[in-house]
Amino acid sequence: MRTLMSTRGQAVVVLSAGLALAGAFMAIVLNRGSAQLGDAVSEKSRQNARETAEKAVALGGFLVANNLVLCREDGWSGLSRKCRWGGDLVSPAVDKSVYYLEQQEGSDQPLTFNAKIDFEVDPLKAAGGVKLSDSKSPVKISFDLINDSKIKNLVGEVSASAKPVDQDHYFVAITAQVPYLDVKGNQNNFDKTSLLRRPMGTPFLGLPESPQCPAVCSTAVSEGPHPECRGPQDVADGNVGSVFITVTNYGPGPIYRLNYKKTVAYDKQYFPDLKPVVSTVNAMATQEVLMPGQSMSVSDVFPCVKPKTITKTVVENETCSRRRHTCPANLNPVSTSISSHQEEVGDVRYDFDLTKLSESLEPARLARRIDKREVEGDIDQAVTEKTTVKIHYIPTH
Amino acid sequence: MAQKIILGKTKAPGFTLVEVAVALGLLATSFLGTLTALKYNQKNKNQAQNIENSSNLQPVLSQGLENFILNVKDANKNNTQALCKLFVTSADDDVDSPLVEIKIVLEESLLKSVFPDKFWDDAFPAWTRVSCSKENQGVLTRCFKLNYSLLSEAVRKKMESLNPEVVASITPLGVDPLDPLAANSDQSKMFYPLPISKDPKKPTQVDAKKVIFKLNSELTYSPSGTESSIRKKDDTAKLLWAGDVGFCNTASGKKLSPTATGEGDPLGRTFYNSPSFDPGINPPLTVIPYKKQIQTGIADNGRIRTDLERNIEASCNEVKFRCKNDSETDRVFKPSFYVDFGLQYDSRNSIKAIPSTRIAPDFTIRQDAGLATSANGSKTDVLETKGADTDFALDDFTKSYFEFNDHFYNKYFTTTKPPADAAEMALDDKKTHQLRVRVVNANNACQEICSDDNLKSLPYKARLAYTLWDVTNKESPNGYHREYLSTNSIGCTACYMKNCSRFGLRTFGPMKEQPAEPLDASLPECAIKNTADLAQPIPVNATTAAIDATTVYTPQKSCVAASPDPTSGSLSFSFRDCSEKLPVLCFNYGRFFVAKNVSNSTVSPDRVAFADAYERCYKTGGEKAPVDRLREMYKQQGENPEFETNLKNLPVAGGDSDSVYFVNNANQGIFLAPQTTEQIKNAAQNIKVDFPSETYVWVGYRTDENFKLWAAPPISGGRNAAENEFSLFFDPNGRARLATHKEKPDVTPPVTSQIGGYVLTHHIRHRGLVPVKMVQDRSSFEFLCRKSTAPYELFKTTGKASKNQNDGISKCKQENGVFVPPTTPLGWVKALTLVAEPHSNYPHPEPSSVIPALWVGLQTDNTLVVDINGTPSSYLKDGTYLSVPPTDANVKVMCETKTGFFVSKPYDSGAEKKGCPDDAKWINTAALTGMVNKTRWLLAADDGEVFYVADP
Repeated sequence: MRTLMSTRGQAVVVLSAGLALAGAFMAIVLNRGSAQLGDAVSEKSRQNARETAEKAVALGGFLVANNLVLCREDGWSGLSRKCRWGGDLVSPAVDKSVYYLEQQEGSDQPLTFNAKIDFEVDPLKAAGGVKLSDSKSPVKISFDLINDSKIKNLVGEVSASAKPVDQDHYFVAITAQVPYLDVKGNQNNFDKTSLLRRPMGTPFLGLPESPQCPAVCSTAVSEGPHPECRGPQDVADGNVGSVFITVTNYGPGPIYRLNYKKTVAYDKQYFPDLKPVVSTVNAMATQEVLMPGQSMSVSDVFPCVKPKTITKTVVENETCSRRRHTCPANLNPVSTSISSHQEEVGDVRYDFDLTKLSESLEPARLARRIDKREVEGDIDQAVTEKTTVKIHYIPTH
Repeated sequence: MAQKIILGKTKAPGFTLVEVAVALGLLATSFLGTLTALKYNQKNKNQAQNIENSSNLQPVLSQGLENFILNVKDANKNNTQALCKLFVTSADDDVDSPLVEIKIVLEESLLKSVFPDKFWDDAFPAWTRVSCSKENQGVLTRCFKLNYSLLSEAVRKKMESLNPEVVASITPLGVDPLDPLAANSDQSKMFYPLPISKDPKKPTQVDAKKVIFKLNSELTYSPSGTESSIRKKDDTAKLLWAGDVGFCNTASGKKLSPTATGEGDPLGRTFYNSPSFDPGINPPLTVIPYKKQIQTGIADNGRIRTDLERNIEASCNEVKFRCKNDSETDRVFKPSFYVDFGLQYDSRNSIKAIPSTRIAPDFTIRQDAGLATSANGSKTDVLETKGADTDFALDDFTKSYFEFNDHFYNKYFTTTKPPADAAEMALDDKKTHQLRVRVVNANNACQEICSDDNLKSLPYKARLAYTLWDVTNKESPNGYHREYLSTNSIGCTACYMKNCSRFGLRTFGPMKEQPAEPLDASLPECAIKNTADLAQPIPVNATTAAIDATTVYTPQKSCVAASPDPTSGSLSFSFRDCSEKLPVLCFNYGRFFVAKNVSNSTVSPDRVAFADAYERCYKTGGEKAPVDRLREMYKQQGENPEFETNLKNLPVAGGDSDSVYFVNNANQGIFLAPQTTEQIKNAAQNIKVDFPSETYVWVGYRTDENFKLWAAPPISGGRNAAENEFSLFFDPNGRARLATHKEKPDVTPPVTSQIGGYVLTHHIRHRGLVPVKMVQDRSSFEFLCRKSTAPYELFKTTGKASKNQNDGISKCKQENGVFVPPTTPLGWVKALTLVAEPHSNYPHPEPSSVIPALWVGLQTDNTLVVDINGTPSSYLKDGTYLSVPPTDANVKVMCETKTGFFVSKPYDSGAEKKGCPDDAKWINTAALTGMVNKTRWLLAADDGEVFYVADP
């Protein structure tokens, strides 16, 4: 059993480190009220408060796991807190009132609801069976996203094998505060805080169209309406090609950050001096959350580069012989020019660099299968699934 | 397991429920202590020691229930018991997809087997299970009485008076307000009871993370000092969310994560609950035919760029220009073309969630009949069912695919067919793939695909069919899913230019939009291939109306100007003073257009005298090019030492030292008049578009006093200025060639005060008529003749080269011809092609060091001083034709019919009309006098024929 100070200065007790990491809910029990023996009525009241708090955090966990409370590391535009109601983003929308929640105003505090949580259930009633009682002193349920840096010793660490795909250091702290009268008749609160990680999202990058680098060339001043090139095959204005990428969140949780590592590699025959260019693509643009089942498209750009040479040798018979078939005559190696209708000159690849997963994905966890080879091998090379498309170079015609 | 409890001292007075509570608490703790990895052991002990009354009892009771649910570990410490036994997934256990649906099953027999009575007994070791009263029946409800035998005597007595009884129950509650079950709830849409099915075939299944268990323990007892009949009831509920379980293990060693809030899993051995994943939506394979075949480009502010919008997926690409009216089998296509498909396999699909699969691609090209409605009303692509009668068989094709990897072209797989097994692709959901189908021996296929200029109503499409293989069945993989995808119609790309490999605008484009002439043509090559065009009469009349009815014809006024007719869209012709400076209608770049000055920002027509029109049209091939860019272009194409030398020789453009100006002989224009109706219409259109305010432009016609038109003979332009010595063009491999041309016709120049002759040249540098001495000192030339019988075709003699032009009369006659020049614009074009054929890849003949030439039946005026190095204005004062006496017995006369047409008839010297019909007019000498000084017997007729008119 360990004790820590929460962000609100309360003593919380963590019962079993690592449970939250494993996906279980009950991580922390807190009791600010003293556990003195005393008046039975008062104690009953405190006991009721405890039970109510337990119900409240159970509800809170449910709300987080079902994407009804969304917590984002960088917070939300227009809000100074990190969590918000997410019912308006699920489909169909769910209003807070369905859960008898009433949001407490105040922008600089954790997301807090006044809740009618003190209910009774009659399990034997055929239908219905839930009775809500009016709470004279409403229960408060609040949500905040906290980094594990302060509670690392308590929540434990992810297993070594999972580390490549689990760099999520954030927990939603769900705190229930239930008022009760203590033995002296004073108003007191029973607090309970639970930790839960956000459900992971699963990005899926759809196959984009083949990106193209349209060429341009200068022309001479002449009377001809269809001039010839009088300059090299250059790249168009801005030196970029574009590719339209579509990302779908397969869920079950929302995605709050999605930065793909993009590697643009060019064929050495056309671009002998060019090294692969690595950059980052924000696949969510300015959108703050990508809900499960939701797709969004972003037009990505990549550098188009002027080919140093526009001739290359195509050695098609090499692969042909590898297949042990008789090579057709037209598969002999040929030196060809880029002057054909189009050429493949490189590729654009999107993936996650697993060493920087927390910069790439929020929550920084992946449910995707990774090759054993990639996990055991050089971690720097470990990436997730790759979406690659060929760059076609389109000469001017 | 259970033990007798001896109560110690207690702070509370008397025997109250505290004793019961402590006893039960310790008992419960004792029970829990026998389980492995208990979470709440310590907590329970603390609670038990602090119990003061029944409110403290309840947590202990419900704690027992919680452990009942959550203590899921088995002997191997795997989470397989209790709640975990209620989880089911939508996927088979051997499936490797991480996102599945995880549900909790609520069905009576299952619950009974998961939570048998023994479990309840173990959970309440200090209690004895008894039958529940009628109102307390339930699958997950049990009733207990205290087991007094476990208590010490003292405690037992107290307990007996209290007579505590417990009704323990577990109630699964739904928490999804959108669940229809919630709507049935009469009190709340939150925490509504979930029905427990009695039918194993129809179990209640609920999303695992939307289930909360209410753990209820209801204690009844007789309070101290009260009658035993007065029972006090005290109950409490605890909520336990299914997410509290963390994860469960499956028999095959996988984990189930009902909330997906736990660890990521790099090995894919965890199923995460993802109810939003609808496997019915996702197809297993996304296939995108890549649109990367260029169709055309666009001009963009002094540059050319590709028009990506018009790219298509696959295309038959013509490699040689073919005139529209030529036989379709004349088309020559690239021997192979590619169809590229991007492929992405998604393991979370509607068919089977396996991490990888294989496909056997089946590629065909078929005519598309669109969508057909089947009997059940669904639309099917006729491609699938069309049958062998219209199935188009390719000669051969290869399939290859790229599996993308870390490095470009790292993996390249290609195969010919058969064998079929080698044509399979392995697909996994971690990579994208590219299937490249290369259609080889495509010419035959393309002949069919592109027939009718690709205007057919049922276009051909490329179809990719594939069978997905169930690779989980490794022994005997079965194809279980077959789909196909049609591309858009296979395009047909036609060469728009002779030079189909050049880098430049509109080199090629959609076949449907193919222009009438190659867009780099400096001669209307297609028009002369068309015999109907070639025979099309030249416009008959040069009227006086446009000028002044009173204008009197003189040879000085025999030059013809054209005016666009605003109503007919045609041209009208009038004769004008040859020295007048007017814009010039030239032919170049595949069209008739007015030569313009493009050096200023405002484009204006250049105005010259008629005699200078030849030179001006030649110069439409002029260009001002940026030197640095040119140098870079060559560098990009590889080392080319020859280029640097030639580049240095290019004259610097006036006023712009960064550029060079030269007339590109490969693009030289010609002063040629439009002849066919279509040409005239196009010329009129171009004049109107370019210079709508111009009324008269010189055209390459002359007229006689009867206002009959004949083609102004094409004098070679481009005398010896330094800027005229270059050509720059792309060879068939797309490599730019810059050449210096010092070549000259090997001729003896004309001599002052002597009548000279003409040779017709056709060469990249020199094209057209060159005046020469009538008897050459050293060079011999063949002769350009015309057949003396219909259809009077132009031809060149074979093996009859001579130094003397006058030999033409006899030499032509030896081949059944007469030595007369062409008289129509297209006749001259034809004559040029007889001198040298344009190259099949260029608008000009293959560059050669020798300039080919033919003697032409034209003479210079004897008063002219002409020299091959002279100025253009020195040539062809009056378009003088050679005078050839009619010696042929087959001489005909020309007659003008009532309707204004010319016809030829055999010459009859005795007849009044010399052989013309009675109602026709014999064109006699007098009528022709004014045409040209010494040419009295030569005319072109409306039907394109050429005639002698006998000298009466």
